[in-house]
Amino acid sequence: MQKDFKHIFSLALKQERLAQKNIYEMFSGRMLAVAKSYVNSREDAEDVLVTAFCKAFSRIGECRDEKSFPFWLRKIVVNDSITFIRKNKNILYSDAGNVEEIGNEILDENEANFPDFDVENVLGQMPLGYKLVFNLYIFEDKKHQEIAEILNISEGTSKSQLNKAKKWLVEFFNQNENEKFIKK
Amino acid sequence: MKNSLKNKFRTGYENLSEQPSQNLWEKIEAELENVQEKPEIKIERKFNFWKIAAVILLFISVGLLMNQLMNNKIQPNENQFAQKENVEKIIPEENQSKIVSKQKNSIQNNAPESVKIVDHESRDYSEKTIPEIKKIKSENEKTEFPEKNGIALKEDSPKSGKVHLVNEEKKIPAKKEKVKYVTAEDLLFEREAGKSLKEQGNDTRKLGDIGVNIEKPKSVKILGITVYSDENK
Repeated sequence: MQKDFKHIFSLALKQERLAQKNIYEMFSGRMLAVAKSYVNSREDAEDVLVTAFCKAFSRIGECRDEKSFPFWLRKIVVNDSITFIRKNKNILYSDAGNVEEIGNEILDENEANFPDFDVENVLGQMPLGYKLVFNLYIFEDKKHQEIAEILNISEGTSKSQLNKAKKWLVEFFNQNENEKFIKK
Repeated sequence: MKNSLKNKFRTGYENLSEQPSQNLWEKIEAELENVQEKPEIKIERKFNFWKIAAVILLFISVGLLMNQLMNNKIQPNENQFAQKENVEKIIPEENQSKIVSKQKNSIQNNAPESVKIVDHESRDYSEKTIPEIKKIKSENEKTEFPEKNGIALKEDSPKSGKVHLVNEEKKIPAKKEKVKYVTAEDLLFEREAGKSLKEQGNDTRKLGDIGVNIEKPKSVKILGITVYSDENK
């Protein structure tokens, strides 16, 4: 598998269309999910994928080696998703005035407390404003400073957005439990 | 915190995958072909810019070369022009002075000259009788008229000759005034111009002469006919 991908990668470096298609088939599903987690709709995510894959294939020479390719490709997809949101959606970040440290615990709580947990469902319902910061912080392991640079916001805004996301998660899970309770 | 919600989020996120729609690869392929066509166009454009730049450079270099080559030839020519201009400047001045002198003459002829002439003649003809003087006066008056109109006198009488002399004497000081217009600077300039003209004559350089001397053959045989050159006999 490893050797196979190395071979495919070397062919893609020579702009071979078949190798590019192989790579696309390997990563498209995963990358579509990543893009969708940012832009929230399947059609928009596919549009992002078209530009991201084109960029990746035409600039494949900039990628160090075949081992770093998945991360490199993911970075492109995330960047293109953010660019897409900037172009097509207006996000108003509320003032970074009070950075309360609430809800920090919810992410450290035991997963056993959330039995019917579906990442896709949660992310799908999370408001776009918080989600960008949340995704970058949790899934891309970015620091607030980096997030601030990527999103062109202040570090304080990034922190407050993450806190809002956590707050929202607490409310979301409480609501879910209430619904379950009602159902029962 | 292995079992934290954060980790659950992460693992859940990393396992997320979604089957893209069937025609997505075709879209990407079409886009890729577009992207690959674009650089070719860019290269063509760059090449065109190079062409334009090269042509401009060629024109500039040719212009500079011609300027350098022609510089030596143009400078003496400019001197010639300057000389001509100088001459042209002098000529009108002379004309003007002539005109001025003529005018002066005519004015002087009108009034004081005639008086002078009368005086002159009165001395000469003091021995003569009054009617003769009157005659001379009348003749003088007669002769003065045609002179003003520029018609030469045909009379051989000494009186008229005297009239001529008087007029010429009057003209000479007017001519002397002209000499004042030719300054030392003009003379020096003409001298310099003459020098440069001589130098131009001595300059045997030719356009396109690289400096390689090819000996001319004294005779050339073409189709069985020998042709001798006139030079270096």
